[in-house]
Amino acid sequence: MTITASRLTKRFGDKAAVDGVDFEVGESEFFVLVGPSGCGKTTTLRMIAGLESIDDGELRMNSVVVNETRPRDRDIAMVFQDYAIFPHLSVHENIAYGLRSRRLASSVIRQRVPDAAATFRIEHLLRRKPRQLSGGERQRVALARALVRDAQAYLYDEPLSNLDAQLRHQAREDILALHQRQRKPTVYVTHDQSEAMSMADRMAVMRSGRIEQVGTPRELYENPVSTFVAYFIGTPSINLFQATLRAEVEDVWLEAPAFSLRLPPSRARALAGHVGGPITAGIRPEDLHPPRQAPFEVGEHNTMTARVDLVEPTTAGSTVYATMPGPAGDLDVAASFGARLPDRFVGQEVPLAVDLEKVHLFDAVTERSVLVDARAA
Amino acid sequence: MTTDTAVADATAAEDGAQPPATPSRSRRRRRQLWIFLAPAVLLNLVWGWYPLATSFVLSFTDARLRGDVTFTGFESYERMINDPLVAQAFRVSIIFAVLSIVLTFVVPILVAILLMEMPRRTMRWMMLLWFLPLSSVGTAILWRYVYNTDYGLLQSIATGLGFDRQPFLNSSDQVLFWLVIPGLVLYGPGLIYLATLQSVPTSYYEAAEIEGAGFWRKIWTISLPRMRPVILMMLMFAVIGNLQQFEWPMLMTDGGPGGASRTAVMYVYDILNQLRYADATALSILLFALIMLVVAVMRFAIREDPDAPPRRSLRELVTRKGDH
Repeated sequence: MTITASRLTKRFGDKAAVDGVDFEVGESEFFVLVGPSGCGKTTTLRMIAGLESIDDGELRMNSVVVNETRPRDRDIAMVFQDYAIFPHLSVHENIAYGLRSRRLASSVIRQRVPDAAATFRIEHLLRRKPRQLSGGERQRVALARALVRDAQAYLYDEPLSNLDAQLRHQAREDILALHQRQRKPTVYVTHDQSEAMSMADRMAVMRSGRIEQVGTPRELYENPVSTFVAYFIGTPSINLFQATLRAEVEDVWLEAPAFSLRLPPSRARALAGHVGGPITAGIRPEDLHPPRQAPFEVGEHNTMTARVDLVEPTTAGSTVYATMPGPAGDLDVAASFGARLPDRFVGQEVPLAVDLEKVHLFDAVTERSVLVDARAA
Repeated sequence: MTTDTAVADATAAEDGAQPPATPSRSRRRRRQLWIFLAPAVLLNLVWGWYPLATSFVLSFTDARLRGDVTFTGFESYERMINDPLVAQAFRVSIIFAVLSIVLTFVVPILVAILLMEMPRRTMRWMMLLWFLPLSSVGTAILWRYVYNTDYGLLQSIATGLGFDRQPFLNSSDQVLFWLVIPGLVLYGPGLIYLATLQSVPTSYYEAAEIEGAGFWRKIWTISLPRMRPVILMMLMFAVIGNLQQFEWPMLMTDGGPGGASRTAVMYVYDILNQLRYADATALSILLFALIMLVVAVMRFAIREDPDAPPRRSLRELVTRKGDH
């Protein structure tokens, strides 16, 4: 099955919560809707589920328009943020609920429920009531209920947000395992970009009711179309600087109070119309290196200097929080180093080598990417 | 003690680092507790427990308006139990309670479920209409006219439909049925059910819809189980209230015809009017015992908490087969 949304719109009063959203979820694709709270991602999911009416646009499942189809006739399974398992029913009856609604023979139910429960390691809890379960176990009941029915599509509404970090990791694997097994189109809503990045086949970043960008996690990370997407994706967040573009002979220089960087020809070409004007430059923390460890030639043209404020150890190396002078006060810069930076550097000026091939450039006014738009054109 | 020091005390007790409260301070706090409790305790003692205890004592005497009071043991109980009118009154009370619960108890539950299905705006209007706090006495007086055999509304409907003239409240066979009917339009408890339903997370219904449940299945598997504790509590109140029914028969039939609608409490009232205090209190205590018995049986037989794990059978407890 495929799910296709075209110009999907939902209004609450005169405010559009979802404002003409387009996307397609392919056969067996894990599609993630991500964005800050209030961006319309959950409303979009609820429209797919049929829990929210569609004010405008079209929702198709397998090219059949389902705008008016009742939730139960859409043959979907959904996992809710609060799990929505029924506290007065045993685990067994919770999992069997959809099968009983569809009047399956009890011999089938007796066989399928323990199977689904076993997939999520809750087969020993079938007779318990939800009150006797931990948060993680409750969620696995919700997953088993979604799995047991062999639905045509799976929907998840922030299913991990009520779990602690450890359980969240486990649940993430459970959900992906379920997806691997069913290979059905899945729409997964989250506000956590790292969750989205690690789970999605493709993802859509939403902002105030619209989709800002759709693509694979890698595409969104490497070629964000706007400062919003660039900033939303990646931890720590991308460093954004206000700068001007200066042409010098054949080269284009990115000029900021604290640094000048010579852009490589690949980037410079796309900038024709912007030279001489303001621009927003984005540099991911991962693209700032200690000069000696940089995987490229380091020189005057690709180095900036910043004063280290704080060194935070990470599993791989360290995240360095530093400041450099800006047009109005100091600018914060974050850099992710592959190696440990000794603490004695705190308070010192250190050079940072910039991977110029990976500098992102955005129009200072529209905040749209200068590079990606040019490429699309 | 000022509020400030009270707050200081509370924080001192919490962090535990402060030295423990001195005896004088804890005594002061206990005195404070009693000062706040005193009004309620006093009112309850004077108007609740004292009359109850007195009735209990009186029921074992020959108390009358005047004269010496002597202890007579179970004499008045014996007299009451052997009084055929007592048996009749108890039967009337029990039939009234059963009829009223069978015929009217479910109605407000249905009303609440129905209202939940309506759009918010309509629901507010309907609530205003349906849950108007109707006077129970006013209702009774109104219905007395409805039931009037000569010019009553119901009579004209009956004859209009081609039935014979009906006796309504004048028939000793029918009187209890007709007395219960006005209860059909008292939806007051529906407000409580509605509040309960509104506290059920909407995600339960949404999950059920996605899982393929239709209207009735949602009611049966979600609304009713979620309402269960409240329904049982209301049922308990209904049983207690109906076994003590007094005002409707009093106002509509005065116990007639021939005692066919004289309830237990009405008979207590009759005996009291004859100034037979001991008998009246003995009868009250008997009724009290009946109600306590019914309530105890209900509490024991019906599980209130729908979310509690199932009770284990004795055998399971012995063989430890339960998965706990």
